Amino acid sequence: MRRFQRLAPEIDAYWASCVAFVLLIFFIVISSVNVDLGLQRHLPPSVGKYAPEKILPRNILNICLTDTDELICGNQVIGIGDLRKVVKAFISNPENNKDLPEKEFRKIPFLGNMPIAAKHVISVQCGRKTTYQAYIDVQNELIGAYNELRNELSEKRWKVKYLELSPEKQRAIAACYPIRISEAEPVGNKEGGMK
Amino acid sequence: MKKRFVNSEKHEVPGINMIALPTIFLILLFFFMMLTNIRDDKLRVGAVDAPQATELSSLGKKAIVTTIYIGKPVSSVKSDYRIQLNDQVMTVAGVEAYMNKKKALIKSAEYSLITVMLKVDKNTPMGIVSDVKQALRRSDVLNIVYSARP
Repeated sequence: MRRFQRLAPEIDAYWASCVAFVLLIFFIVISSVNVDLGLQRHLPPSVGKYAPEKILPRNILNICLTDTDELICGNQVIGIGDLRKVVKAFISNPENNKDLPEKEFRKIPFLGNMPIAAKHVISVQCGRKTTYQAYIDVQNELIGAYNELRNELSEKRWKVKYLELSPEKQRAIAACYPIRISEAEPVGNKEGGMK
Repeated sequence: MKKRFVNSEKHEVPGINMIALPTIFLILLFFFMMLTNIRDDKLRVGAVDAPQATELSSLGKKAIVTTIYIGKPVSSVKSDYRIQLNDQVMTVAGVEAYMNKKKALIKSAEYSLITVMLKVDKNTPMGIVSDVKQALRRSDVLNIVYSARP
């Protein structure tokens, strides 16, 4: 009886595993995991193509970064932690203050007539020696302020976060708080920052 | 006593079944292939240490991305900050020429999809970054992303 029993020959998987392992290491080396994250911004069109519009002083918020990374907002030095509060108060202007941006009523789908600070401008200016990290901190706070305002409005209206809304509703909310950040050219000696 | 020794020497160790091992490696390989993307460019401007930020968003799927690195090479002592576009070192004027050439290659309907990813070292002075931004404005490439890490 035992004579008829056939044993399947054992496959030597050692070399197969070696090859798979080498492939695995090779792939880990040539690839990278990083997902590209960043702050998305839209640059203004080139100067000369469109005539710059006149801006009333009440509509403009000047933010200035000096060469030593000091933050000047309006006329006073403030910390980076206070910037978001200042910017939010500037954009929303809840009490229709005479010194803050003027508002105009616009019809917006889903929301009806909304008062919008459509003409406000946040002007960010920096020196040529300002470090990039300080600049990104300011940009981050500005975008954070807009995001917070949009979140507040969408939570008031629909009780959900801005990012969880449908694209049409997101567009409607975004139209209520249009992002208007102007990127002025840096001031100072042209060669100064390069050295 | 002697008999016991002889017996134990004849005892064979059973072979380990290795067929599971390449299977596991292949599964790991496919897992990594799905998780990662091919590393793109060799950095010629030294290590670029991205700044930190909280309000981050990821790029849209459709964007046509060009990456600009700005950093300081470590090797030479008296080195300046340098610009690298995709995989070659460039000047500011070179950036403008490259973007104009790139725009000639694609359809005008897709111009708004062109996005420039700025991967800039966090200690870079803003002067050189602004020069690059002005060059991008002149060539009408207006979508930019400041790369940062959370």
